[in-house]
This record gives sequence, structure tokens and C-alpha cells, in this order.
Amino acid sequence: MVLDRIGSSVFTELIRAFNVHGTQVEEVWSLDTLEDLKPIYGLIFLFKWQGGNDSSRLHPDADLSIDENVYFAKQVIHNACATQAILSILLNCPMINLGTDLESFKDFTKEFDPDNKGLAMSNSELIRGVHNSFARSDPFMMDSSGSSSSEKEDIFHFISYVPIQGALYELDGLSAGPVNLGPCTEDNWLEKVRPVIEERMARYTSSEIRFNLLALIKNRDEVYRTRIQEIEGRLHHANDTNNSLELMQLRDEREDLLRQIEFERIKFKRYERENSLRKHNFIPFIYNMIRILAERGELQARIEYARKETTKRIRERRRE
Amino acid sequence: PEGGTRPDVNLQDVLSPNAIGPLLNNPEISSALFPHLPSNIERSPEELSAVVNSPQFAQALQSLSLALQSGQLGPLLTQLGLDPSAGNGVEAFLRAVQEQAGRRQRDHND
Repeated sequence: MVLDRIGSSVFTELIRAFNVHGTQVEEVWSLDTLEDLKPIYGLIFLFKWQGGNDSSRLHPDADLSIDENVYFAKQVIHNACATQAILSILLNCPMINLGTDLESFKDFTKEFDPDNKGLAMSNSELIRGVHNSFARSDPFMMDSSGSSSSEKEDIFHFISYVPIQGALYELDGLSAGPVNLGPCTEDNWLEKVRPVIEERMARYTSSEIRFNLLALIKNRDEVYRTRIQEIEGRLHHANDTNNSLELMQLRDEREDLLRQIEFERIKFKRYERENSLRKHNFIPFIYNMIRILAERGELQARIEYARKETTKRIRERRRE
Repeated sequence: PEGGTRPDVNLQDVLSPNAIGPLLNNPEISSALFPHLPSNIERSPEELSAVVNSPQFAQALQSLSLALQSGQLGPLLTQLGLDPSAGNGVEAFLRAVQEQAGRRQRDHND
């Protein structure tokens, strides 16, 4: 998968396709903004995969033993890792309403060992269906044998961080087990995870590897509407006591939340558009565009232009 | 190592937004392309231009280029009325569409 295909719009629609309600995924631009996104159910760190070793070697002393409280699945197929990363959080968060489909998958597989959990994920019709609707709209790239192409697309790997029953875990389907990073509470887990992520960021920044951090959070619209309800209660009270300064502040706050709600609405419209473009089969569009150029007698010139661009790029690559 | 074969072209260069953008204002061209947009996209020249400039369209061009270069597209080419040999690279594909257009124009004139 390519980076532009796996931003928050993809994850948000992945969750929706699983019929999980009340959550969304946001990109985390800076670790300082984590507090604003609370409540956060889990974090996903993604980076360009170098191949080879799993990530647990970054924590050589960590406990990798299988804990029955932790839902940990080994990664069986490589390009399903985005789906698996989001499932690692969803299946480990009792406060998220998973919906009947995913809930029954969890019930059915919870006694499985990590390998069989991974296999069950790759065999589940529900999960495969959701994953495939995102993997490619084009029929020819569905099988993984497309690696024969000369220009390889970048492969990204995803690792999840989740607080589970009083401990912070790093979940990487390529590791031998869930990495227990030590005790935490629901309140302080973000403080505990911060240095772990900072260390990864420092490592990848110095080696110029692209990475990105995403957070699975409570649905913003719901969060804002709950706050508005609280404010309305307080407005009522301030009205009764004739507290004009407080009234003014509360009205400003309410205005601000309404703006945020509108901002969310616009953002989700944009996600919807991006996702429909991403899933669309553009071959008929492209073919007709080329046909039109041919009929207008302009295709030959475009081919010559493209050939010049290819030569230019090859020359530049040689110079590097 | 390229050997003796000429490196193939890229569809992103052939259909760059700069090149095809101006054509999208032509009503005849835009109405020929509207049916091939996703169903929830408004049929207007502005939207058409936004789609052609989107990273998702660029991705589609790249995917198709790679697929043509790896020669996996036989059945699809047959569907488009092209010879399956048109699947040996991007330039071969473009030439096949060119010939097809020429054939159609000749048939039309006969």
C-alpha cells in the first residue's frame, strides 16, 4: 500500500465497514496534541517497512509471553497489516461497541493461539471483504504476485499501542508475542507511550524513513455534542443566577463547539469523496481519455513528451 | 540494467493534469468522460478537473502503468477490443489504442 492510501480516511471507513460505531481515526501531527484527542483507545505507528526483523528487538528485555487478557494475532498475510493494526486495538478495547459481526468473530477466536488468530483473520469473510474493498479497486493487483513489476511500490508496516488491563502493550503481528512495556492506567498510558514513540521517531528520522502516527479516538461529533449538553445545563443555571460574565463565556464555548461539529461534518464529506475515488476502477476513464487524445491526433505528441520525461528521470537517477 | 530495450513511458506523464486539464472544458470531451466517474461525484467540468488532479487518480495511473508493464492485462485488453499483445508495456498499449482509433475513423469514412 502507498502512504496516501492509508491516512485517516481509510481507517475511518475501515471501522465503519466493520460496523463499529462511535469511533474515528485521526492523524497525530505532534505528540503535544495527544491530550486534545482524548479519549484515545489506541495508537497506530506506521513506517516504511525495511523487511527482516520484527519490532520487538527494540525492547530486548520486554516480556513477550502470551497473556489471555491480550488479543494478539500473528500476521499471516503481509498486505493486510493496516486491517490487522486497527483490529489489534478494536479487539482489545472493551469500551468500544464492536457490533455483532466483529463481536462474534472475537468470541469465536479468543481461545486460539496467535498463529491461528492470524489465520482466522485472513480467512474471515467479514475481514477479507472489508480489507479487499480497500486493497485495490483494480482487478489485476489483487494477488500479491504483482511484485514482479520493475518499479516496486513502498510497503508500510503498522504497529499498535494499547493499554490493556493495567499494562501498556506494543502489538506487532511480526513479533513472537505481545510486548508488555510495563504497568499503566487509563489516565497515564499516553505519558508512558510517549517516550517509546519518540524513540521510534528519532530512529526513523535519522535514517530518513517515512513514518506516521494515527490515533483511534472517540467519535468527535459525539464528544462535542455531549459537551454542548453540559454547557446548556450550566447556561440554564447561569441564567437563573443572572451571572452575565459566565453566560457570555458559555455561549462562546457553545459557538466554538458548533463550529467544530461543522468542521467534522466537512471532513467526513471529504473522506467519503477520497474513499470513493480510491475504490473506483479508473481503467475505463483512462482508456477513454487516451482514445480521445488519439482521435484528436494528439496522442503521438503525448507519447513523445512522456518518453522525454522517462529519459530525463533515468539520467537524474544515474547522476545520484 | 536496461539491456537493448527502450525504457517504457509512464501514464502519469502521458495524461498529466497540465496536458489534459484544458481539454476538460470542451463539452464534448467532458460528457464522454462523465459516465466513467464514481457515481457520487458531480458531473461538472470543475469536478472532472479536481478528480484528474487528485492523488487517487495519480495512483490509478501508476497502478495501470505497472500492470501494463508486467503484462497481466490480457483479458481486460480483449474487453476493450484491443489485441492482447497490447499488454506488453505502456507504449504498446497506447499504440494499440491509437491504431484502434485510426481503424474506427477509416471505417467511419468508408
